[in-house]
Amino acid sequence: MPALTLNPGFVPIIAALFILAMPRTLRSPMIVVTALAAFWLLLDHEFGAASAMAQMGLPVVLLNLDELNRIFGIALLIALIAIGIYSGARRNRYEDAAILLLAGSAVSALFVGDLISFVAALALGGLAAAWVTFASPLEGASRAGARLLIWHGLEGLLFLVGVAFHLSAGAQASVVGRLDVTSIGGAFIFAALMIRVGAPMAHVWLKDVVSHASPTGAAALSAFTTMLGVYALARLFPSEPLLVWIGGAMMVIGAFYAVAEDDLRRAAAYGVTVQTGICTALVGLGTPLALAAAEGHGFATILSFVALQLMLGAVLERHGSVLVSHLAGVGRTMPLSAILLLGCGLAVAATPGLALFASQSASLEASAQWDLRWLWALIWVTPAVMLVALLLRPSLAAYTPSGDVKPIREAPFSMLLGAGLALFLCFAVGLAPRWLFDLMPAEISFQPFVLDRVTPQFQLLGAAGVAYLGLRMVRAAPRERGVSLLDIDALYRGPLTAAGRWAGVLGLRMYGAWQSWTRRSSQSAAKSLETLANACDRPYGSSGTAAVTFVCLGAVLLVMFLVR
Amino acid sequence: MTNAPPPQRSGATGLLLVFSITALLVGLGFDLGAGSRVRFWIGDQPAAAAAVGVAGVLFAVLASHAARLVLAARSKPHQQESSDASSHT
Repeated sequence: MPALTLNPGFVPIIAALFILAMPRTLRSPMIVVTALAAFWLLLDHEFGAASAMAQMGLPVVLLNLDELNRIFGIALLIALIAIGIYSGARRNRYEDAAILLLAGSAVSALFVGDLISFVAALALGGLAAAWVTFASPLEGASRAGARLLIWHGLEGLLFLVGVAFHLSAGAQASVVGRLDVTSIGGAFIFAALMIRVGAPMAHVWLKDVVSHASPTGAAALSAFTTMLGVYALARLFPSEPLLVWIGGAMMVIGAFYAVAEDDLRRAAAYGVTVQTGICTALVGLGTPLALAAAEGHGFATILSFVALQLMLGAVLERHGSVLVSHLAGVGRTMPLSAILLLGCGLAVAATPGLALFASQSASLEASAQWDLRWLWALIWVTPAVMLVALLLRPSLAAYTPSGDVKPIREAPFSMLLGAGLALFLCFAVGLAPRWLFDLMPAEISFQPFVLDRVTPQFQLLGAAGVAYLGLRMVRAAPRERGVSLLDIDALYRGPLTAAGRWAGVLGLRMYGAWQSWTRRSSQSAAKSLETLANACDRPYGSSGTAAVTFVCLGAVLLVMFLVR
Repeated sequence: MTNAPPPQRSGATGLLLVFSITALLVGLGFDLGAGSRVRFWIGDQPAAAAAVGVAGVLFAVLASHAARLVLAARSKPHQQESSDASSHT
């Protein structure tokens, strides 16, 4: 009997078609059932590659399961279950289908075994991510979706060109091994993956779409996009020294904006950039422990930030805003949500007992190299920055009295349940991280719960909390006020757009002037010819015209004679 | 001349302060008493984690001030798309 070789990611893609025709009550259970079915397929398979099929002369391997893609697949499918439960609170069949398509394409991309299928899955994911953004009811979502399409279009183009160069150099598409960034094909693929992970200059697309997506869509975009890039880097460019510097830059830029942003969903997206930077740098280090730590950190980041985005979405749904400057009173009107938000803040700050602490400890251990002290210090200081940005600021704002008395108006139950499940899993993985480490490709004898790791983390977070609260009391910390920060996208959405518009207007004016000049010239030439023709009709009308006519005729005859 | 009234104190300040002080004392106690600390570079010094935490907060506060000073967009009434993205009242 032939073995079943269905890629687990195909299940959500097929379900995305059916969900469009389903009634509202069935759509949320359908997403959860789909995720569970994909989970079963994932865990049911043995490690190894399915047999290759030939498509247009190229080998296509639709399923290749190993330890590396299994750990990312488990994280994405757990995220899909939480998002599926959460999505029951609202009515948007198009977004449900888009989220399933996005999740399916991300999981498919993980499990395919050749570069061509990977590019196809990535491109489908780009389209689905744009669809998720388009389906949002928030203002400006369609423009953000269009910008995302441009980013993902560019990424797909670079990837496709890179794969074409790679194949033309004689490589096999079905052999997905380490690529050389100095080869032309490898450089194009590397550039495409830099867009995907949100490297500096390309880090803006995630915060742009997350802040414009719906509450459910933001969590899906946070989970199913950038971590796919980390997986691809671990697969194609492990031990690439350039990644260490790029990851470090991502951490600094992400932290800089996360602490200053007023919009909490945008701050959380910058937080994802920081954590993706850690994963990228660890992939660049390339030791077995560093690669395992990168994968574990990717897993924990997906869970923690999905929980945070789901909770922020719940606040947005009921309170109408997740701007820190507008959060006053949320602690009173949404008590349960505020407590869950606090829990999510602890999760992303890598508090001991939560998932991110285990992977952050492994990351710290892996980066403890004397020549990379700066990276080690950056990874160590990250929880303090996340504590300020995503725990202390929102919590302090949410429990500030608003002045007016409002009734309690909690988030819908399914939203609380979805976010609560994600947070529970953060605790579960954090308290028993052994099963996470057992899923990793490399054998790790790493123990996060030893005194030398737990107490310094408490010390770091405690000191950061005391210092920040002290600075707020003496009013040295900035007051929360509505502010929108400019990032690199302000360049292409502002001056570059204006320059393009100006160049367009200039071009149109030059074209108009050219048209006007040619019209005038042709009119005057026609008029001259008309005058000449009239003069030829009446050769003796005036003496001057007759002379010119005879001279012209003579010249023509002379030329004809000479040419003959 | 009248001074602006002080901003309202958040109801969570006390709770967060208690949590932070407890965590700091537990961490410092084990660090100074039992020598349980990160065994690498500056991490091997007493109370290094606390110093790193304070450094992180200083970075956060300075970055926040700098970003708002340099990068705050001047919002126009008809161009508030970015700032209003996550609010639909």
